[in-house]
Amino acid sequence: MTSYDEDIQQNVFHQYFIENHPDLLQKVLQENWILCVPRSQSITDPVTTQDIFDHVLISNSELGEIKTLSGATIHLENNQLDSVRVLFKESVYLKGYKYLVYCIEHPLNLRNSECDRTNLEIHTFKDCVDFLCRETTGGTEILTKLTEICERFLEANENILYYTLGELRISVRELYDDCVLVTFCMNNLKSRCLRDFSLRNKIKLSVESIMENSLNGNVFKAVCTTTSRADAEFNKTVRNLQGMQLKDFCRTSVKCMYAIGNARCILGKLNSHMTILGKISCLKNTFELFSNNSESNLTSEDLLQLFAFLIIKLNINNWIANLVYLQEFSVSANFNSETNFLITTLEAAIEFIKSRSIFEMSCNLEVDNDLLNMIRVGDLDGVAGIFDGRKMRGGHQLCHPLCACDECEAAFNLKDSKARNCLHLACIYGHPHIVEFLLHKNVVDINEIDYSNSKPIHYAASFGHQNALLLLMHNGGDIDSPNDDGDSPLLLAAENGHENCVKALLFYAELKNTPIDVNRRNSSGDTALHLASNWGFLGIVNTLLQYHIDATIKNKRNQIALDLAHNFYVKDILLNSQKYEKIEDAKIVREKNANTKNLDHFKKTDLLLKAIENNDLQLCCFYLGIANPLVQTTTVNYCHPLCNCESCTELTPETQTRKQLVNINSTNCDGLTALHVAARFGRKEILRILLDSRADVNMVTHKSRYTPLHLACHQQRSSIVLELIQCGSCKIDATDSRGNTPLHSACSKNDPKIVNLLITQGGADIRIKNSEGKTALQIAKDKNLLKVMETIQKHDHINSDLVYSFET
Amino acid sequence: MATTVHNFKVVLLGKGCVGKTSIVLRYAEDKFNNDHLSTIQASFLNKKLNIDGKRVNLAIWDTAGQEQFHALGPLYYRSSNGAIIVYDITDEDSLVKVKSWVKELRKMLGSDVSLVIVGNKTDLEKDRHVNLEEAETYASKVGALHWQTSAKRNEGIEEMFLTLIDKMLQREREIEDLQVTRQGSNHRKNVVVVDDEQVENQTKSCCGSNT
Repeated sequence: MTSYDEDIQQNVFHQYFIENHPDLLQKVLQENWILCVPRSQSITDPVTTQDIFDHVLISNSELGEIKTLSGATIHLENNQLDSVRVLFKESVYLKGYKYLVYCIEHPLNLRNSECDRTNLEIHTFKDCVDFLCRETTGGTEILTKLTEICERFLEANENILYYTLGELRISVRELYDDCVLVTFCMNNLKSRCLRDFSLRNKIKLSVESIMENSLNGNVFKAVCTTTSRADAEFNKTVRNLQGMQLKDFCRTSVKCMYAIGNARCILGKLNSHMTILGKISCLKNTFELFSNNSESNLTSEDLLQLFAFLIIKLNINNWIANLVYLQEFSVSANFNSETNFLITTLEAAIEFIKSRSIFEMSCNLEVDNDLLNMIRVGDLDGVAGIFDGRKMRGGHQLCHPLCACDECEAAFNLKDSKARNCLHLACIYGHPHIVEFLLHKNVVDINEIDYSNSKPIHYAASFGHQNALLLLMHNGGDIDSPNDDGDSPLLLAAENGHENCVKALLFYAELKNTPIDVNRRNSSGDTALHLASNWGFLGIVNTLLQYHIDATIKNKRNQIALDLAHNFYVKDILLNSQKYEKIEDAKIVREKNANTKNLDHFKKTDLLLKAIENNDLQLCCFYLGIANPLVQTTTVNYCHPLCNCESCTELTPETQTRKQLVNINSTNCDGLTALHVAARFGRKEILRILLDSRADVNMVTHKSRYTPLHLACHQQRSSIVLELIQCGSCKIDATDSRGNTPLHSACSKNDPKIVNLLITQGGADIRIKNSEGKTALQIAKDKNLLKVMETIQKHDHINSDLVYSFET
Repeated sequence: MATTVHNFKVVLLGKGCVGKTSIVLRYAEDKFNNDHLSTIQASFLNKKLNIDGKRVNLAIWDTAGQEQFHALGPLYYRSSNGAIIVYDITDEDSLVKVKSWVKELRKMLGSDVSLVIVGNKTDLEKDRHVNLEEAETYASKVGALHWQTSAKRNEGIEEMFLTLIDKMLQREREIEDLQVTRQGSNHRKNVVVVDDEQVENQTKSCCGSNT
């Protein structure tokens, strides 16, 4: 976006005024009069003294009117002098005095139609095209050329979607330079631009916009890929603020609130613009809408809060990508402009949402009741006090502790303005101990519905409180009922990005054989997969696909989940799942059961490895069919160690009855075992359990032939290394495909602590050479890792002595 | 050859209610055009000036003064050439806040930023709680200009901006001189881009995962 600019000092009209009317200039300086200067291209005839008199403005503040020096009255409103637009204002300082210059569209005494005023400023993509065509040859030749360059660029960079942000920035920058070069070669533009900065800025902007348009949004898509993780995280934050109202966190005038609706329409079109120019104009229009509709001056605080509110309410799933695109890829932008301010406001709004402070505001929903308030803050003692009838509450005392008269019943079954009871609120605010207490007391119906037909379990799932959700499920909460919007708990958890709740729901249903409709559609026809892929929640998409959600279901806008995915990784998974399913189908047809069993096995192994990666001890034990040792030690309390009485046999963990779903040494397609994953991610407890259950410590991966010890050294997990060494059967000098022992790995990672452990505790052989013929010490020397060298040499001395004495 | 335009970004900082917004509004005021005032936004103002033939384009950013938004400050003041830090002469605490802003700015922006410390509300001289001498000594100690204004009476504001522009122009010249002597060229931007790239490559190489 450019606004009109020219150097007033170079303007013919202004020069004439300075040179021929020094006495009038003096008067202007003293009286604070204003000089109107027509823009240079609109001046056709030689300037006369009369023209100057027509263009000096004198204000009469008493009458509130403006007159020219030649006596004509003139109106100034909305930046228009009568019908002539004021392009910009400039304060000119001259030897300590100051006068104001209005640069106007054309001379005041000229009729509108008489002058050419095309391409004064560039606001839209069409302006860019018109401007560039006019300034070059007058035809569309330049457009063809630029499009060709861009097409060649896309061909040469077919992997553009996999580029890192840095690579992307450099290649786009190069492309832009090429485009500018081609443009400057035409119609002697280069030398004209040297004389005229404003022309140069306009050319740059036009070239950039046309380039972005010709690239067909590919750069933006690539940016989306690089920011997809950040976007998913941000979306989760945003989804969980959906309950917020404008009044919760923003003090603005009522008029501004009415503008919100329009602003939503304008800003909501952000993603339909591929060019930076288009996106900026979106922001600018929103900004202007707010400023025109506010009674007082909008401060930057107000603005950023309004933007934050819009971000929360709009159905846009790639804010971070948009921000990065605007910040990093606007090659022609002037950092000092209003554009920059708009982008910064957007950035500030996003940061504001990310910060905790907005959460605090969102929790300030007013509750005017003691009990509900106690639930909100999680005051279990207070709640318990009320329910045990010991304390007075709101002037009402229970008739007697077990009273069930209408009045007392009503006191317990308190509801807020949306007919939500205590249990609903405890689930919203996520206080599992209160949920447990309420369920234990059995005072409220676990499946009670509020005005929106939501049960407590809906709130637990949509706010992501897994503990509360689990409590509800285990106490007979209905896990698969829709609310008024057709959302089941699963859909709500998927939409709000709560992977833990999605897993809990699906897993519980599988475990207890409770029917759950994975493919349930809400009132707009979306399945959980639609919602998760729209907001880019990769983990949830993965989980849902594992539970065989149907990816081919269409919503009411006739889109399948893949159509909604903006996130490259999500798209990738969805595409792969389609292929995978096809392969699977084909195999089933051809080979019946033989291969599906195998596939099933791999899938289960993957689940196990995933559980370890997430440090989910319980799930991991479940798959392996081992009793969880942590639970065992805390809960089992026998009469005496070998007691066989009824209550003690009940307490005995059902080790024998547990079914082993996955063999402890089974591998995934890369040859990773559970132990590998535990070592790599440093899951110490799980590792211990695996070792106790006699997992093979010397299994190697298919390709690189790493043992778990290798991985632990790579990731510099010293505690894991120690654990592995101490288990006894670990081959300390195992070599990988490149002949490296764990010691080599530890050296190249510059970790003296692990090196020391390997040598002293494990007795690693420091003389082993890898396939490049290097010992660990040489690796350390090559990289000049002094501490590691020192550690090795210390032992080298002792070891060589030992070897020597042994040999002799 | 067209004359170069000096683009300067100036931020206004200070505790809430010290009159930052009033100062900007006063400066933006155009006595010919009173109805225009309501549509000028206090948060961002672009002003073109021509000082003895030098073209200066001033972008004035009014920042959030509420404590709640303090963490967002760096977004607003980054890459600014000048900062106007305002205190209220009747409010001692606002000068304390000025000191913390100066510290923060010097830490984040170094010496490239020109600072003006402004004591506003001189129309309330009788309620003065901030010692003028103390404020001036502090300003000279941290290399900032000190100025007293009254947004209400429109005193000192124009002059304050002019001195700040002067200082920024001077600073710009110094930086340019330094660059010429150091590199003999002004491709500074390009160098920065290359640096960025190197840093990225480094991080990529050391956290590559392995299976």
